[in-house]
Formats: sequence, C-alpha cells, structure tokens
Amino acid sequence: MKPISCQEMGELLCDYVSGELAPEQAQQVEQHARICPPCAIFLETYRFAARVGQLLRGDEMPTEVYARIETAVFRCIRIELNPPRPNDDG
Amino acid sequence: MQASTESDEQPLTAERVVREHAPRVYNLARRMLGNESDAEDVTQDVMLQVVRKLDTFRGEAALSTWLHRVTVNAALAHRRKRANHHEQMTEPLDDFSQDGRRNGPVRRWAVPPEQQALDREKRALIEKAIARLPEAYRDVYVLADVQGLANADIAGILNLSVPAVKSRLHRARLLMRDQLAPHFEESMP
Repeated sequence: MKPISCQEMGELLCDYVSGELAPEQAQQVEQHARICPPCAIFLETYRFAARVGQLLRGDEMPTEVYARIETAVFRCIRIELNPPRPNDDG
Repeated sequence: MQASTESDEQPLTAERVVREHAPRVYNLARRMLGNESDAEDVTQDVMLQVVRKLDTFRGEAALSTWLHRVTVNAALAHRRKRANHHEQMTEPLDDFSQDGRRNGPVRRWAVPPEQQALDREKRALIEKAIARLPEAYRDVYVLADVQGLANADIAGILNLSVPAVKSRLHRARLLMRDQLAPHFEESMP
C-alpha cells in the first residue's frame, strides 16, 4: 500500500470521518496516523469536531414555543376547514 | 385529519406529526438561522404546510425527507428576506509545507469519551461555535453532522454538487475544530 503525506491525509479526512472512503484509502489514512503523531492527533480532534454535532441530536424545544406553534397551526387549520360565513346583515 | 401508513401501526395524524416533528424542525431552523424567533416562524410555516399535505404522505420516511427539504427551503427564504447576514469568520487553516508535511505543532485535546453526554456549558460552547460558522458552511454542517443526512441527500436539498457539499463540510469541521481547540486543548506540561 502506497504511503501518503500529511497533506494527502488532510484531503481524505472528511470522507474518512464520514465513513465514505474506499477501504484501501481508509487503510492509507490509518497507516499514516500510526507513523505520524501530529496527524494522529489532528484526526482525533477533527473527528471530535464532527462528533459534537451528533451529540446535539434529539434536542427538545422550549415548552412555551411548542405551545405557541401548536396553537397557531391548529387555529389556522380550523379556519381553513370552517371559514367564517359572510355576515347576512352585511 | 389523518393518513394511512405502510410501516407504522399508528395513524399519521396532524396532532402526532406536530408533536413528533416540530422539535426537530425548530432545532434545524434555529441552528441554520442562529435565531430562536425566526426559527419559531419557520417551524410554524413548515408545520402548517405538512398538516395541509398530510394526506399525500406514505409513511414516516417520506415525511421525514420532505420535512428536511421544506425546512431548509423555508429557512433559506427567511434568511434572504432578512438580508442582513454577515460572515464572521475567515477561511479555516489546515497548513502544510511544500513537501506535504503538516506545519506547526498539533496539541492533544482532553475530549469526553464516546457516547458521554456533554454538560450544559460544553453544549452552549458548541452551539455558539455552530452559530459562528459562515452560513454556507453552517448549513452543511448542521445537515450532515447534527441531522445525520448523507452527502448526496444534502446536495439534493441545497442544490449543490456532492463534491461541493464535501468541500463545505470539510471547511466547516476545520472551523469547528479551530473554535473548539482553545477549550479542549490539554495544557502544556
């Protein structure tokens, strides 16, 4: 397997962390990380920068915001389904 | 008002859709727009659209895909309407010498173990870092690394090529790394 430089590893980082690299390229990244401590640390910290996004998944929303949205949505829907009748007197 | 589903026993009612999907729509819009009030407007708009079209969805998967697309479009339209956005950050730096070696030292971080929940302070730090990303990078980071969408799906939603999505995602992650570094780097011995 052909060794890669730090720069070439940098170019593969995004796909590697996203799990979108071909197996041979993934092995090149891992091989480079084993022999290059700065790149190994960079890979670990870059992976963390991606992983923190996942840790925010499943957020709730403030109860009062949810209540306002729910009320507004169903008020609109009720009006659309039962539009007010024209005023007979008018 | 309800639609039948193929994969789910429970009917897809308007009440259930709002209850189960409004938080995700709200948080996607909030992170894209960096503003809670705008996110509330977008969520209301998207929820109204979904309730009106409820009869046309065939199951949760179709609804979920549609919701991502509509939320992103609504957030982008909201952003264009405001038209006062400003980019706060410079391009990320991933520095190499002419022979392809990494320039400068790279310091270790004290990062929490995989699967460990973040404390409130760290979550706020990360939310702030996302909010400070340039919009073009923030949109891709939120869809890829927060929402977990595949690059091809993001390309479809944002009308970009897959290589463009990957390029923006890489820059977003580099910028996130740059912003988080001062807070996670281990102190020198």
